[in-house]
Amino acid sequence: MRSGKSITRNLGAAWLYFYIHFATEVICFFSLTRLTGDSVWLWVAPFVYDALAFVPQGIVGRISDRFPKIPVSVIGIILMALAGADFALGILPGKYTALVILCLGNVCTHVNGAEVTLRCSDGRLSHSAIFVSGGSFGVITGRLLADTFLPAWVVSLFVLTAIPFALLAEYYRKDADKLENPCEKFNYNNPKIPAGIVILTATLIVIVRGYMGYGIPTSWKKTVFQTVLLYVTMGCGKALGGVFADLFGVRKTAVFSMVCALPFLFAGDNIMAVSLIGVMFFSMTMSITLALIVSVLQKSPGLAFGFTTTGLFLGTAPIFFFKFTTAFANCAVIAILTVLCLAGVLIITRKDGKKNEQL
Amino acid sequence: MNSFEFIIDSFFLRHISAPIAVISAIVVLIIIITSVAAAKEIKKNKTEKDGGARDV
Repeated sequence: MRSGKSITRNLGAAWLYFYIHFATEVICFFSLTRLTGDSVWLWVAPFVYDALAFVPQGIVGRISDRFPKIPVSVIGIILMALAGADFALGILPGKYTALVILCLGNVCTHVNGAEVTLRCSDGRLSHSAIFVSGGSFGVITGRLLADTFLPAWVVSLFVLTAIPFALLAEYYRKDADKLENPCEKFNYNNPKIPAGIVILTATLIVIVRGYMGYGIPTSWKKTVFQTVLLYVTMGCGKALGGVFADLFGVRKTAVFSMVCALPFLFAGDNIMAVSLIGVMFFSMTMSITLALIVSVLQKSPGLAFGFTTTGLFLGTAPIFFFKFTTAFANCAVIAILTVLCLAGVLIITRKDGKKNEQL
Repeated sequence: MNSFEFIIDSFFLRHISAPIAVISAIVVLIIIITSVAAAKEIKKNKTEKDGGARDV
């Protein structure tokens, strides 16, 4: 039975990291959008950013798992503020330096966000889903702010406001760490499947989802308002995925969201409302893959989170090199990949789809 | 142009530049390190579980 104190702690940690994740994405996408305004950087900057902000999260996560006293999130916020200030003042040599520092800061806050929300969740998915959803709102806010006359140093100061939130979240993490293994209630994987296969399959699903995220047909997206609506829907979908998984089980939520997303996404190429329903269903799978990997790496939630972000990079990387020219080919690939993902999820999740009640 | 030539042309000739090659090498290295860390963790968990079973 969960006590009132643990419910307050868990929800508190989730919403604190919702804000920290929001602030992180605001400064990152503000800087990235300003940087890509320079034509030389149009293609290279997003690729470098994706690689250095997504892939090292496993290593930093492992360090955070082993040395919990290091205030990883606070270090990350300071690094991002320094990078943002450098974009404004140009103190460090070249723009690559500031970009790399920005990426490292991004890595630190993301990893700690996952660590804290997973440890403070009593095996539920909604808390990490709330944390993850904050990013979508931050991405669109950062992009919109970059098109204004707002100076970069103002955004640097804004990201520093996340430090008190990060310190409070650390307090919650210490409270959760009083248990020997705070993530032991994550038990969503099929116990008959070897742990390595679960990680590999879940990562492949993330890769496919990452690719699909860029391939979704959205011809209707023409105005700023419509773009904002798309990102808000993504954020709400990610959060709802965690809530639904807690209410109805991981397996049912994964199958329901994947099967329902396809017709809405294909039929909604030119119809915004239909497309947004599809995007919401599609975003629901986000926290499920994370929960599956954590289920086999219970003592290393930071390392587990790193696999999902590496998968996201590997899924988005082909977009920089190849693109399907016809809508039919794009839809066919998305449909085939969805069926493969569905099969993968059915194999690696527990049949009841719920956590082990004995724990 | 057949598909093979297209891949060679679009991927290797147009896009592989020095920063991309460096980043790709870093990515591969990090993925290997992360995978090894995960493999060690899984092995450790398995050993702990087996040990626990023998104790029972």
